[in-house]
Order: sequence, then structure tokens, then C-alpha cells
Amino acid sequence: MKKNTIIIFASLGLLLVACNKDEKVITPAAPGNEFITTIVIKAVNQSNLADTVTAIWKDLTPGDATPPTQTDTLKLKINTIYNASIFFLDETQSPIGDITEDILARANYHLVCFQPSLFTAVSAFSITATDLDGNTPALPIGLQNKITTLNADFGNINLQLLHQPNIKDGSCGIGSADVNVDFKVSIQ
Amino acid sequence: MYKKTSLFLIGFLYCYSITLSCGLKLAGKLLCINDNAAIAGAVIHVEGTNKSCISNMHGYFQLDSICTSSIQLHIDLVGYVHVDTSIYLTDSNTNIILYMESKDLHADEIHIDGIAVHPSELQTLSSEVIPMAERLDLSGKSLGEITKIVPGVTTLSTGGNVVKPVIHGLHSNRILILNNGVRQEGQQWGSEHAPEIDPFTASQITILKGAASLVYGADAVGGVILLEPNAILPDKMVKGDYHLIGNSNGRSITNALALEKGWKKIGVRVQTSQKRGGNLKTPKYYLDNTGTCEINASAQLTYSGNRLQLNGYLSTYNNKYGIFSGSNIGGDSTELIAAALKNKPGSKNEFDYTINRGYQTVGHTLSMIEGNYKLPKSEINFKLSRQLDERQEYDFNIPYTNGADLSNLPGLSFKLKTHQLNITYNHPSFGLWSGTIGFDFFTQGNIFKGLGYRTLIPNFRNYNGGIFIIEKIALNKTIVEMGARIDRRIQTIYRLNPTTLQLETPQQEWNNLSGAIGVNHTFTPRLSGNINLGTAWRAPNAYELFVDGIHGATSTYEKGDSTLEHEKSLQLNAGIQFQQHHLSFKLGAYVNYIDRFIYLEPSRQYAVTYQGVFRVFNFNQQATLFIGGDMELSYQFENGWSSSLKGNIVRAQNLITDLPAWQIPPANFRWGINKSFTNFQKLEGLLITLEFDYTSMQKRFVKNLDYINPPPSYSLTNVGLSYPFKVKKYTCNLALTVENLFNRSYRNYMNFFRYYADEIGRNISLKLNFKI
Repeated sequence: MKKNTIIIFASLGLLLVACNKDEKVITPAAPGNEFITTIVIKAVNQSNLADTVTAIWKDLTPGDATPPTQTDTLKLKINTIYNASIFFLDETQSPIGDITEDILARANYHLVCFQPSLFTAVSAFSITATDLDGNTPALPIGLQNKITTLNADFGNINLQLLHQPNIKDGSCGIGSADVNVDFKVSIQ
Repeated sequence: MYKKTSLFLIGFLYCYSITLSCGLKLAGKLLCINDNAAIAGAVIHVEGTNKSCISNMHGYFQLDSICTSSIQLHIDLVGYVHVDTSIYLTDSNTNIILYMESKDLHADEIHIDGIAVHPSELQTLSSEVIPMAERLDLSGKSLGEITKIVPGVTTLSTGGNVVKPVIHGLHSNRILILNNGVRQEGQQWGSEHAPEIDPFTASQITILKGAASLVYGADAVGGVILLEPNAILPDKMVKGDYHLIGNSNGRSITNALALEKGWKKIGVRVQTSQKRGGNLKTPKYYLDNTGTCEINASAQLTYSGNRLQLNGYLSTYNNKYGIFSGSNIGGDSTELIAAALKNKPGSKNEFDYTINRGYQTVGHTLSMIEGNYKLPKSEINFKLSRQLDERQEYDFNIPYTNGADLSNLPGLSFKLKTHQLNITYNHPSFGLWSGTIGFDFFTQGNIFKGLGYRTLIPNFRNYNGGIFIIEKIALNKTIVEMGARIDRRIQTIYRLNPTTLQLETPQQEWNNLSGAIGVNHTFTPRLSGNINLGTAWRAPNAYELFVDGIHGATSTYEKGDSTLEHEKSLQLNAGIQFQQHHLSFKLGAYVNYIDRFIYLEPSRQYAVTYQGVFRVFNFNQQATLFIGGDMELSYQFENGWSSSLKGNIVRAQNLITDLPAWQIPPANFRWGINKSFTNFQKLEGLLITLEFDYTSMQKRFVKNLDYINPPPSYSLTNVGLSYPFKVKKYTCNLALTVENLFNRSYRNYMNFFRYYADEIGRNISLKLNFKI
């Protein structure tokens, strides 16, 4: 009895000391994961297709505290209507990854929202989504938009890419934000 | 929860008492005078009554429902000299230490003994014991919620599911938890990570308030929480203990079963508990995605020989819990303030058991073997243990991919492995002197995996070693203890340089000397006091040094500081205990100076990321002074009525900036009224409790430092009822409790979710306990 007991406890003890040092190997980020580094607004003047303006918001170190690499001002003309397309890119990869396609593929769960910025908001300006998803009834996606400008103004517009799995109802206040950035807008 | 019902609930217990009519309680610890080791299995009997009990594996015993204040105690254990002593009980809650002298150990072959896990060091620190086996009202609660019944202990939480203890204003890595005598090593660095422990494994929880580094090593700056099971005593029968608990808030069900069988020399215990709960509810709305699921199990095997005792223990803790979706505010501080002021968060307002994305899974396994070998006049203890702590954090959002399916991979994953060895030697006593020499060693490795662009916490390996000596002299009415300890810690970080992506392995080293001296004096049989001057230290952990990233659960961006140095505490803890007839009080006071106190502080800066603008919190260190006190006053009226008042206050000041320290618990007072029904025939043993719990507003804060001001004061009302009964020969106990009876909406300064949502509303619990 005593001998058996000692053997049981001794083998339990041996289990405890087995040890390896996995921490010396640093696990790389899972392959295939995409980071949103770049958000592009491309606006085309409806009455003059050659008049195209582009604004880029870029942070090549996504998710850290270093300031964004590039924050362009979207320069628009007064009293003009634009067709605006939004693109989301991963520039940490080569070739550059296009996340816009992933969003389109899961359009029923996504919504791009434009809202007044909490900082100085641009006001002489309206933007409405023109594309629709596959929900019933169909709801806006927000990758394609119509911008209408009024008088001269300068300020910020807030762009959010919302992830709304099974709760999308066209409104902006729900879901979680995959992207939440401010673009500077100048209307002249 | 009603906090001050212990005295009476205990009285309802099956234990070993038959009449349940009187409210006095005697609790104590039984030690061997030769070597100060705890004595288990001794029978303590009150002369002239049928009351008796048996000391547990750590020497603790408890006698309840004693009717007369002057009693004669008899203590017997084979191998020890019979003790016959008179004791005067003036209050319902008397604590004593008793000594037994051992006879020749060879004299009797059937001598039963427990394992002395640790000798009774630090007797000059204030401590409090929660007898879990007898506190049905506390069953099914988390460790943080259980320990807050002790004055001086408060909680720090992140929502309703993550609650951790705060002792004298200090928490997380400054509180050491010993589970079965093993330092609990989990992912405790983050405020939103609760200790990975199932309180059902403990039949007794002891809280040591104050610096305990001397015996337990680095990190025991604020105090120590010891969770201990009972000794498995020889019995012809298999003993069982079953709990079934239902909570209205979260609609949760908990059940726990423990079975044990003790033979002459061998003891076996197996235990398991499960919990399943859904969304918690504040008075006005449900908290979306706050479900929880927990499965735990443990097994214990003991051997008690004449000289050798062995104890093997295995346990596993597994928890999955949702992160409140309303806390995922990927925006800037203005949104946060808007959220704080909003009546309802933007999340779904309905009940659901489903745990959706935005969840964490935590697994903790412990395997341990300990032994104790008695020499003629001394004793050697050893303990070897291994812990594996794994945490996976799943983000609210499914990651974007260019092909591979990453939807089932956690965004962040941590794996912390710890191996520990402790050896202590209780040397033979020289006259009135007794003492212990100890050696501790532990090493741990952390492995981080993530889907993110950068690591949140780097991989690391640390080695920790310490030796200590503690000596005690027991005079007639005075115990004096003193000791010293040397520690060394080496930590190597393994990480990729963020710019060059080359492997870096910076190494840091800390060497430290700690010491303590204390006195415990009995002035009169009614009045005793203790005072302890001690030092403690703590090295900055890898999180405090290197964290750099967004903290999903709290929507903050946390930044470590690799230049942080270790912090060092010098503290004075004092207490007095008084008992006379029906009145008793305990007072405690402390002054704790922490040099280079490490803290996380809002910076009022923002990190601009593609996911939004996040509040930046920085780790910083500055000399900080903590001053505080706690008190407990109770009075026993006639006819089973009693009342108690408990309170604690802590003030903390940053001595460099001369401003109040951030996130210090506000003052809290709890007033309880209890009525126990005795001599009521069918109502015999019924207990009704009523408690008022008042928490003040923390008015000591730095204006414009935090993003919102501390919430206002609040008071809660809790009621409880418990009733013991018998089904055939089995002892049963039924308890009904209502917390936050009036369903008050309030927010708690010590909850990180105070920015987003109210605290949970009314909760009705029904608890049933069966013992066979």
C-alpha cells in the first residue's frame, strides 16, 4: 500500500517538472489577416467626369499610437454634385490588398456611414449612399455615394465602416466600427 | 449580499452541534507548541455540552451556537498531550490560538495528522477567516464578491462577470492568492482579468491584510488570500456535499458536487462545479452579450503516515464569457462621455444565453504535490506545482482576410506556464523561540499569439528565487515575530523590434531585501492588539513594461513604460480587538508608503487609429502614500436579534504631484440587522437578515484627468433568509437572498464599465445545499 502510494505521488511529481521553452519562438501574425491601412474617397463631378478629386487617409502602422501617415483634405467645388466611391486597402501587403471586395462580399453585414464629425464639422455638404445590398428590403451599403455641396465651407466629416451582423437595419448607431476616421473637407 | 450574517448562518450548520439555540461562536487555530505546525484532526469539545468539532488540515476549528460565555475546552489528539483550558467568550465571534504539545511520535501507530501547508507565520498581521463550508449565502459567488464581506476588502470589476478583490486600496498583482498553498499565477495584470479560481474548492478562505512579502515573496504588497480545503478525515461513509443555486439576474444556474472518502491513511476527494448564465440586467435594460459559462473540476489524494504526509491535487478551471457589446465604443472620448450620459447603451436590450463575438475564454490548470516530513523536533515541508493559464480573446469583429478563414481564431491569445518549488523547515524551538527557514523558486514563460499588427504583450521567461527566515518568541501574553527575506528575479523578453523586425532579448534583474517585525499582545482577556512593520516589493510585470495597443474590453489604448523600476512598500499595520458580553469591535489602521508606485493613468491624449480615436492610458510610477482604516462593530441583543456595522476608508495621495491617486475605492459602510429564531419549534434555526450597504462618492479625484467624474454615492438594501432542515438523515439548508432589493440604478467608481452602463439591478437567489 505504502509503496504504491509513493509511486503514485512520485509520478505526479514527474508530471510537474516536464517543461519546455516555447516562449523563445515568436509566433508571426496569422497569414491572410488583412489590416485596413488606407481609406480612399474618390469623387467624380457628375457634370464633368474629367473633374476627379481623391482624398487618402493612411496609417501604415495600423492600430498603434503613432499618428496616421497621410490625412488628405477632400477638395470640392461649391454647388456641385459628385459621385463618390470609397475604397479600403491593406498597404502592409504586396501587392496591396483590397478589402473593399471583402466588404462587398459581406455587404449584408456592412454599412459605411458618414456623420458630422465631433470636431469642427463641415455643414454645407450632404452625402447619401446610392448602392444597395441583398437584404430584403434592400439596405444601403455606402461604398457608392452622392455628394451635394452648397456654399464655401471647411471642416471634418466622420466616416465609419460598421460591422452589423444580423442587425443591419440601415441605421448607423448599431454594430461595431471596423473603421472610424475623420476626413478634412474643403468646399471652395 | 448581507455581509454580517456569518455568525448566525454558521449556527445553522449541521456541523457537530445538535441544539441550535445560542449565538456565540468560537473560532481558532490549533498549533503544535514544539514546532508551530498546524494540528489537524484534533477533537475540540466543550465541557458539559454535546458540542465538539475537529480541526481542519490547517489547524482551524470552529464551534458554533455556544450558549454560555464561560466554557471549558478539552482538546484531544492521539500523539498529543490532552489540553484542558477555560475560555471566556464575550461576543459571538471570538478568535483564539491554542497550542498542543506532542508526545513521543512513535508511541502510537494510528496517529492521524494533516499536512502543515504553512506554519502560522504573520500572526501579527490582521487576518480574517471566511468559513466557506458554512456560508451558504456566499456560495456560487466569485472570489471578489466573497472576500468583500471582510472590512478593508473592496472590489475592482469590469462588468458583472469580472470581479477581483482589492485589499487596502491595492489589487491585481499586489494581492497574492494562494490556492491550496500555491501562488496563483494567471493573467492578473489586466484589470479586466479576474482570478481563475473556483471558490467551491475552498472550505475556508483566509485574508491577510498588509505586507506579507516576507513569507510569500514579491507581490504580496497589499495582502494575501489563502484558499484551503478541509482535511479528509477517516470515515466509514462517503461524504458528499451538493449545491444548487439559481439567480434571477442573468437567469443563471450553478451546481457543485464534492465527494470524499477517508481511510486510515488515505483520503480521496473529487469535486466539480458548473455555471451557465445569460445577459445580466440593470434596473432599466439588459446588458447585451454578458452571458457566462464555467466548468471546473478538481481531485485530491492524501496520504497520512506516521511521519510523512503527502497531498496531491489537480484542478481545472474553464470559463467563457461575453464582453458587453455596449462597451465596444470605437470612437473618441466625446462618444464615451455621450455613452456615459446616455440612459441606455446602444446595444440590444433583450435576454439571451448566447455568447456572441466579443468574448474571452480562460482555462487554468493546476497540478501540485506537497509533502511534510516530521523529524523528532522539527519538520520539513516541500511543494512542487505546475500551472498553465490560457486566455483567448475574440474581437467583436471577424478579421478581414485574403483567403484563409480566420473567423475561428482568437484576436489575442496568451499562454502562461508556471513551475514552482517551495521548501520550508520548521527548526526545533530554543526555549521560547520557534521559527521557519524557507526557500521558494518559480519560473514562468508567457507565449503571445495574435492576429493583430503588433504584439500586445511580448513573450517572456522569468526566474524567481527567494530565501527567508522568520523567528517567533511566544511570551505569556505577547507574541513577537520578526524575519528577513532575500529575493532575486530575472526576466528575459523575447520580441521583434517594431521597426527592424529583428529578435531582441532584453534582460532585467531585480534583487531585493524585505523584512518585518510585529507584536501581538493580549492586554486583558477582552482586549488584544497587534502591530506589524514590514516591507514588500514588486517588480513591474511584462504588461506594465511593454503593453502597447487597444484594449478591446475597455475601449482604451494602453501604453507601457519599459523604464519602470520595481516598487517598494514600507507599511505599518495595527489592529485592536475588544469583546465584552454582547459587544465586540475590531479596529484596523494602516499607513503604506509605496515608493515608485506603478499605476495606469488616463493621459487625456488620444491614439488616432483607423478604428477610431482611443483614450490613451499610460503606465507611470510615483511615490504614493496610502492611509486607511477598517472597523467592525457588533452587538448581540436579546431574543436572537443582533446588529453589526462594518466600514472601511482609504486615502491615497501621489506624493510627487501632491494630488489624489487615481481609482481608489471610496468609503463604504454596511449596517446589518439579523434575527435568528430559536425555540420556535418548526421555525427552529430560521435566520432573517437585512443589510444596508452605503458607498460614498469618491470626492478625491483630479479634475479633468479622467474622462468622466466619479459616480455619485449610492445605498443598496439586501435581504436574506435561511432555513436548515432534515430530509431523512441528510442535512439540508435553503437560503433565499435578494440583492439590490429596491432595484436602484447606480454606477460604481471601481467598475471599468461605469463609462458605459449601470450596475446590475435586483437579483433574487435561491440556494440549496445537501450534505450526506
